[in-house]
Amino acid sequence: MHATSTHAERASQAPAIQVEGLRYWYPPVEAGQAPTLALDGLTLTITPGEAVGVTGPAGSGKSTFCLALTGLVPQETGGVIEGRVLVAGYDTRRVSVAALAAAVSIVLQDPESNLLGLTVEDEVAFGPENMGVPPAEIARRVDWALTVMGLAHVRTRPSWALSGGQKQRLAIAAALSMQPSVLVLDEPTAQLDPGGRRELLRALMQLRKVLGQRLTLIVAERNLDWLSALVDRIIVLDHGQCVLDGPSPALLVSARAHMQALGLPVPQLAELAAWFAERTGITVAWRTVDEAQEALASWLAM
Amino acid sequence: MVGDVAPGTPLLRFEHVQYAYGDVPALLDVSLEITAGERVAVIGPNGSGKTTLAKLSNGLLRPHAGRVIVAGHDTSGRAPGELARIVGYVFQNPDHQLFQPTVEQEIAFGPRTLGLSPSAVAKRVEAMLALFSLTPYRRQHPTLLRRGLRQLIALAAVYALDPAVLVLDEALSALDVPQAMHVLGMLERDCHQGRSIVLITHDLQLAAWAERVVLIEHGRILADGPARVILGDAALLERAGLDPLPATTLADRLLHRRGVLSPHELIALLSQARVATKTDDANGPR
Amino acid sequence: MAHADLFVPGRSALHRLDPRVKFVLALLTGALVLSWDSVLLLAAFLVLTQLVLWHIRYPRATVLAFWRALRPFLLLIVLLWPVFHPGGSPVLVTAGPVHITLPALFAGVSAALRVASTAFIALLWLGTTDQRALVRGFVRLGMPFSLGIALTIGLRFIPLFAAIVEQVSAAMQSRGLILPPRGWRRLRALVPILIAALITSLRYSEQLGWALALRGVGASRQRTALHDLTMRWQDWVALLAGGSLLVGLLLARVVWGVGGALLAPLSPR
Repeated sequence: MHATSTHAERASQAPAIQVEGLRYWYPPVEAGQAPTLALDGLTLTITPGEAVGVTGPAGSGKSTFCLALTGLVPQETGGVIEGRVLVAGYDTRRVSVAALAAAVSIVLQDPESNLLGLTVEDEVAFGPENMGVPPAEIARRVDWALTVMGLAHVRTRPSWALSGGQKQRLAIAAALSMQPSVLVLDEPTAQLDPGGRRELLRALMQLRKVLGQRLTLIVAERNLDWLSALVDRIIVLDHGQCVLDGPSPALLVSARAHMQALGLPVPQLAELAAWFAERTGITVAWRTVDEAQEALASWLAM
Repeated sequence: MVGDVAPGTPLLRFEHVQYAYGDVPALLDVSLEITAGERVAVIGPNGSGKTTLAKLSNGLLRPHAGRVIVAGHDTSGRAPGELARIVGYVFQNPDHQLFQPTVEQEIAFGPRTLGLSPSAVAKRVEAMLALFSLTPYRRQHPTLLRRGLRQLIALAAVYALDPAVLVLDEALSALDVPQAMHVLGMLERDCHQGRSIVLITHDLQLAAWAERVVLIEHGRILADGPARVILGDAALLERAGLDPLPATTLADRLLHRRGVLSPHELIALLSQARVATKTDDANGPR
Repeated sequence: MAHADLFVPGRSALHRLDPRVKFVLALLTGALVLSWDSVLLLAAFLVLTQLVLWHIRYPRATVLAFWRALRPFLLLIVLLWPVFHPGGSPVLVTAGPVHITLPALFAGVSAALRVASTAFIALLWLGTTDQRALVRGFVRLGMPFSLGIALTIGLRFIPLFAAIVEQVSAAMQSRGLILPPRGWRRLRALVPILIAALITSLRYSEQLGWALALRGVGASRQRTALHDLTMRWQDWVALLAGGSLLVGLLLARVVWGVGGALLAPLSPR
């Protein structure tokens, strides 16, 4: 499957992701044991250009869901799947992972495991090279991806010499050069320090600004402060089921008791927003500390 | 072992320690003392020297200058294996620490290596399984369990050595914050018997559990003091490249107050401030 | 993370030579050197390699480390060769059934020089060709691409595995494991470390397999390359001139025995 369709053509096919009655069992780890149910009846639709956060307690199925969007589940992990997942129109059970790579890319949480040990520009060129893209076009895509991820100044450096945050951004650049319409990030900040997290957030927000409708972003994360600054919608999983689905950051405020009961941390901004709503009667949801500061400052001055 | 040491006795001391990886300096003249029963959080950006500090505390690294004294012993003369009974070091990556076929055997490895009798080893294993709620997984292969459980197993395996100082190097990173706080709460109970806990973490909410916070940056200790003072100083944290908790930043920007860590505290202060303004207004024009 | 690589970047003519040409010339030079017996010619060649290494500014520390690694083997060859090849005259030393003769000693030195020379040919080749060019060169010469990427990842994996072993060793020592400094007990103590390192490596390689599939490996039969190798005129000249010289010398050796005598070109064959 050659990646000939442009971003625009793919964007006009709606929705970007359609999940219908998805159930998935991992194969048993030891012979004789029962298979483990990881996803238990997921049905949802994601439109092109959306940025959706997926969260939930450990073991709730976030990673499995991410892998299911790329076809790795079930093609590489085995097990039993029911229902279906359509990504950019392709059925993840029928189309090979390598062919799906033209439409959907994933970046895993360990910065090391996304990279092949090549130089920065070779890592980014690797994907399009495999797809048989002409060299001139590859060069153009590499330049663009490195610039948008802020890595142009290290393009000849070997990938193992980069910091954790840079490696994550490189993995995203390598995914972007294949021009997917869906980008999936599985706990991207888990192994980053605060500086790395800030850089990554900045790069992703810039990416959304540049690509707009042409890129649908799915981010599985446990760091809700970071996530709410990036996404428009949050889905909460618990034991493989979708228990909450709503706009972000409003959902973090309105459903905070439920999320706390699931064992998730309540972001401080959500706590403050809830108090503010109670106190003033104005429903608010703050994505960033700056937004909260502005609202509270005017309230204090009143 | 723990219980022999009276709270307040110095257990871990760094005296003007320097360390470099090749030509790259990692720690520059670090002096620090941790006493029995203390809960200390070590924070700082990546590359600041936190892990180097941790590795120096159990002899995995030897200082290039200065001394590291652990319960009275200079680490330079001891193998890390010998110091393991005093300083228990739990790494972030559980996969580097697990190598036995079952969870039970993993936990038993430490006590057995230390030479405890089989019955004593069995008792320790039962205690650890119960403490960390690992009993349902006791006969499973650790590597097949999810990452959060693997981290707990690694922690249990080190805790089974009953060390006087427990060093957690981002060892709870795969746990959800409430779960990590629960584990820390359990460990805290042993601090009353003289065990010290050093928590290296990026998460400031976890750091707030400690009573004392040490901030390291570029190989030097930038600040060392009560948790509330350090974590409540937004300017200090930002200078060091860290992100203060939202409540801390807002208290600083809106009310020029330091030492605020939770939304609860901020709300109380905001309400007071608003009342004060309203009272001023009610008392007539300025 | 350290990289187990002999390559040191530079701007010498040798660095800029096409990797395929370098490979072919290295093979031919190696064949030539192995065919020679002459101590004088081999010694001169060895000196030449050292001069080239100095000229391209290859780090002296690495060269010295290379010599140190070779030293025990060279000494062993020189000492043992005469023991197993008695014959010729004059006899220098006799100890029971062992006769050490001068020609045999020279032959031993010649063998040692051959080993050293081939080693330094390899160093000159690997020291001036970066991994990407190396693999690309092989692929252009006909090696299947999948083998090429396996080679790249494999080469990268060696220091990665070493780092994993080190980290696992540190973690286990932190659990009370005391590593005996040497000997059989040390080997036994390494077993749990290797187990954990192997498991981590397997987990890592599974993720890597996924990463490859996700980057479209196997998607298209026609693979392109961003930076491909092209022959410059300098490469052609080096190939033709160098190639002819080396082939000529090889022929001279094979057909007319040039370089065959131990003290050639000074003494007759």
